[in-house]
Amino acid sequence: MQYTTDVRLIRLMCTGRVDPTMVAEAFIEGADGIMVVGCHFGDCHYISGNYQARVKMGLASRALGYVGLNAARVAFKQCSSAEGDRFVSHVTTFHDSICEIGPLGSAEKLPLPKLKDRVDTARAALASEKLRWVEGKFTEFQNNGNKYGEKFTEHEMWRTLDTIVIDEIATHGILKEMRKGAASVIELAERLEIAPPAALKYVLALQRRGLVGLAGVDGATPSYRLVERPAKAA
Amino acid sequence: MQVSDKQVIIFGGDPAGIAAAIEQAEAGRRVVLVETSPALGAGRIPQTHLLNGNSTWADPNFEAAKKHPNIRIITNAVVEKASAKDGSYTFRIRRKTGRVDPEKCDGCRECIRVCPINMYDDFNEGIGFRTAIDFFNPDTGDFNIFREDMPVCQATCPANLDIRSYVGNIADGEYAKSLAIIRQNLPFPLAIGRVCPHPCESACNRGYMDEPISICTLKRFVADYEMKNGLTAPVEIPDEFHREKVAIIGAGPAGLSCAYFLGRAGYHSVVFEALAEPGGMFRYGIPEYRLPTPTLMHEINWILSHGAELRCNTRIGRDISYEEIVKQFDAVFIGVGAHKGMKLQIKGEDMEGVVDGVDFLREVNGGKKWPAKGKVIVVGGGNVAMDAARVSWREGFEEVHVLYRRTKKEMPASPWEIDAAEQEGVKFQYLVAPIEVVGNNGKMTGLKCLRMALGEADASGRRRPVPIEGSEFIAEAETLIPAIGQAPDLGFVPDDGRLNISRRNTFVVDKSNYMTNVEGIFSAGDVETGPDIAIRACAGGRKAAEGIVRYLEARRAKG
Amino acid sequence: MQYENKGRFIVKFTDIPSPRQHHIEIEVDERRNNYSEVELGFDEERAAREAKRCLSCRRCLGCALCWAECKPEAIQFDLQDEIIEIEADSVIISPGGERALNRIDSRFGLAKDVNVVTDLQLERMLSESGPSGGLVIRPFDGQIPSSVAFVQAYDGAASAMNRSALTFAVNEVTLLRQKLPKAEIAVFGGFEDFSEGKSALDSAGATLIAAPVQSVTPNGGSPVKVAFADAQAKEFDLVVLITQPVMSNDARDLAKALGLDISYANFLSGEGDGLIQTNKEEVRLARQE
Repeated sequence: MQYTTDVRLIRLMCTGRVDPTMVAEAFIEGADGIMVVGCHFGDCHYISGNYQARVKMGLASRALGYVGLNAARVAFKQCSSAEGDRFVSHVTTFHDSICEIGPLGSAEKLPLPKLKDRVDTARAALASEKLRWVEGKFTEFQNNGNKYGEKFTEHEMWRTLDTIVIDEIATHGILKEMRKGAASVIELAERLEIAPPAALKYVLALQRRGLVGLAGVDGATPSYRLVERPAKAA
Repeated sequence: MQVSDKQVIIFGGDPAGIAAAIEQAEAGRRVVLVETSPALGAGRIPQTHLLNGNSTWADPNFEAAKKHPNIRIITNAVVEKASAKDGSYTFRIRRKTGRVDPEKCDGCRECIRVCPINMYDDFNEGIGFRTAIDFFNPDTGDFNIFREDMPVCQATCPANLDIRSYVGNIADGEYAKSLAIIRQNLPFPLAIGRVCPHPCESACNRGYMDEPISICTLKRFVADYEMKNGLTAPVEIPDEFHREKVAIIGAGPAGLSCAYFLGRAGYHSVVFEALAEPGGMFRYGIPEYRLPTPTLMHEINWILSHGAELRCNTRIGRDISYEEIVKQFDAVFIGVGAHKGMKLQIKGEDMEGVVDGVDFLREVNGGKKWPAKGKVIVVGGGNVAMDAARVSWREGFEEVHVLYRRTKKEMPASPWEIDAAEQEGVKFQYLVAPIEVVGNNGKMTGLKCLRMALGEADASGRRRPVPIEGSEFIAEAETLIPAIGQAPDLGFVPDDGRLNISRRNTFVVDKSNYMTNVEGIFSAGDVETGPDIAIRACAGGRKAAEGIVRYLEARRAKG
Repeated sequence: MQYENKGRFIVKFTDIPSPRQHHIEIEVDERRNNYSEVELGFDEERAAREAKRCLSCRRCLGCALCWAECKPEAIQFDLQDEIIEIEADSVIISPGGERALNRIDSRFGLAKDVNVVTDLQLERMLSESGPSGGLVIRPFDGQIPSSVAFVQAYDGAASAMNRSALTFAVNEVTLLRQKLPKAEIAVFGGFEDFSEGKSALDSAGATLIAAPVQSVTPNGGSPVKVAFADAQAKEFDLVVLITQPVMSNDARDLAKALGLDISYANFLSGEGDGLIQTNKEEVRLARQE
């Protein structure tokens, strides 16, 4: 088996072990691309590990894509331990495509620190209880249905996850900014590069949840800050 | 406190309703306070008197209302039935569950911190948003889970098709699953997928962002996929059928839907059809270029394989008597549609050359080659008028004109049908009304018309056309096709007056089971609703089938 | 821009906007003198592309995360609707404050600019327990407005309804003045028969402009332009539309079922005390504040 020396292999027991936040962290640590290679569907030693991996990797690439990372930097492939050639071909193809995209930040047309900061927001969103919970329900919703007995199609499931990803990235971006101090809606919108009306909605939603409160009003500008809460965050 | 047995019911949990409730309760009456939203209403800014130094917001006293022993509060309520009789009033109220037990909830808000779904906040008029589980009114703290009964597309569809699921399955490439979901509520995806004016698409939320989803054509796609690839449509019927038999009068969208759902529930039916082929308006009203007969027959044959027997060329009252059918069958479904064209009520309407729109379409769809010569005028602005115009053009008339008394904006026909007619060269004359058919020796040569202008809006919200005096003119034409509406033809019903018939010449049914006032006689479709879209007739046929099944089961239980 | 409607809220997905797929159809020349099917539907590729446009509109997911978090175990997904039969000796109806929002002419800019709000939305913002914690803010950026216009956005309403709508607006001006002592407040409306309303506006320091408003021009977050009279225009941070009260559909259905003959004006007759009698004995209307 011969392939490029640009790759670093990380061995895991099962692709199901790859948490979406690990993918985000790898980029923060400087990787230009991440490929997860595991067993063929149906061949999982742990029965459904690679199905879970499919959802997790899909979610990671969506969240990272949403914050501006080129989604082609994330790949999920199948090959068994007996298929050496196949493995080499996966690695070579992926390596070539990453070379074409270029180093982190170049294809994204963003300065590296800014991109990493955004990837960090995506990481926080991926680590949130909401996304972890719903991502865990993926196969259950498809096969058995939700609490109301409604079955979800694959398409519906991804639409749903997309809405949560978008909400959570905005929410965690705001919370991250507020950890630096009180901020107005206009400042938040500017720093996070989101539309001001959307920023206002998310701030009001956080206020409704009791996580954010009014810090004061300076002239015509109200500013908001985090509310200290014991234990759990959103 | 002395409590009388007089009970007062109050609708509206706003400050005025709450104040009235407390007042009545204090006077010793038992009070039921009914509110449609999940919580009692917020304080309001007065709208009948100006604020002055002493007055302020109308703040409701929630505590007093909640704690008062004489007051029972029902929130999240839907009034399902209300009636007044002999000085007493009775109501059936559905209290929709909020899925949160108010006795146990301590208002800690942990649920709204974790809820992943943001939603429109009705209570706050959309300023900010709420979560799927949330308090509604922060002052009362009544937590609830908001779950719509159906998404807006499904709620708008007369047949309540589970659109979100069948479209999702198409996105996933699961065509058979998608079709199975459609067929749970509708046996006609091939036909409806071609002819439906799709109210669901007008309601589609995506329409507010860019353009609505093309739901109707997607339905057609999965049905076409099965037919074109020679796949067998599954027939889901029980191994054994019940012994009761149901007669279905009229093999149209309503009747065949009814037969299909009866078959699935294990009941045989016999479908009587007056014309030579089944399909009703699908076959004889919708032109071939919109719904080809082989496609329709493919679907009808599959429907009939659900334990239904078809008897064509059998008109009730001519080939078999109504009484005979009632005697032979355990239940009767009447779905004869609305096939009688309305008259223009103008002079000369009986001249040669005048043919009603539905009659014209029936003849041509039945295979007759029309002696099309010269100019034809179609009067009307609905889809039947568009069909008649486009068929006339295909039959070879040299010029096809459509007259409509309002403007294009008010036309009830589907906009894409109007566009297609225009593309095909049909000429539209707006703000024109016919007043007399003129002719020679009983043969029409032209139509005397009057120009109109739009006046005030009428009850329907559309501006009423008013004639412009002295604007008469004669439009020359050899053929006139009035297509201004249809009504059911109830000639077969015995005139013993037993069946309740409305002023619009339709049957009156109990909407809970679609039974007419005569036991065992059911009805749905255009003959019950008046002329309407096909999918509503299909939905009626399904609901009537459910009513028939319940009726037969109850009868069997009685023995 | 995000879209909202009763019960739903759509985020800005990355595939919005994307065009709707159109069915395949045969040319007009191929249609004359024959009955070939005109529309041919979708091919598989178009169908897949179109189906993927579906937003699967958000709703309660039934994911039970709230249920897992709820310590007092108050959440029960299997709780059922309850049917309650009630017999009553008398009926009182209170219809609340519905507004004819769907009849507002598009020239008033509602839903085109988030800084154009309805009087009901302002009422929520004026409330201390409201969505903005009692702050009156611009929905575009959360800034506190320095100029606010009230614009009468209906015409031809019955006099009782007109009076009620204007009273509501004047009261809002009074309360708004307490929150924004320095703001410029202008009211565009016809107050010919409502002199008390006029003087209340005066004492709140609001300017009354009797000229009818021609248009409210959306301005993407910058001050909204209100054009009135003969080619005059003024800019405002926030525009509040004064809307027409209507009887709710619920109340109308109820009235119909009980054989009542009532109009919304009955609810709004301000004079007198106690309940208002209808044509049916034992059915009365709660008097609105």
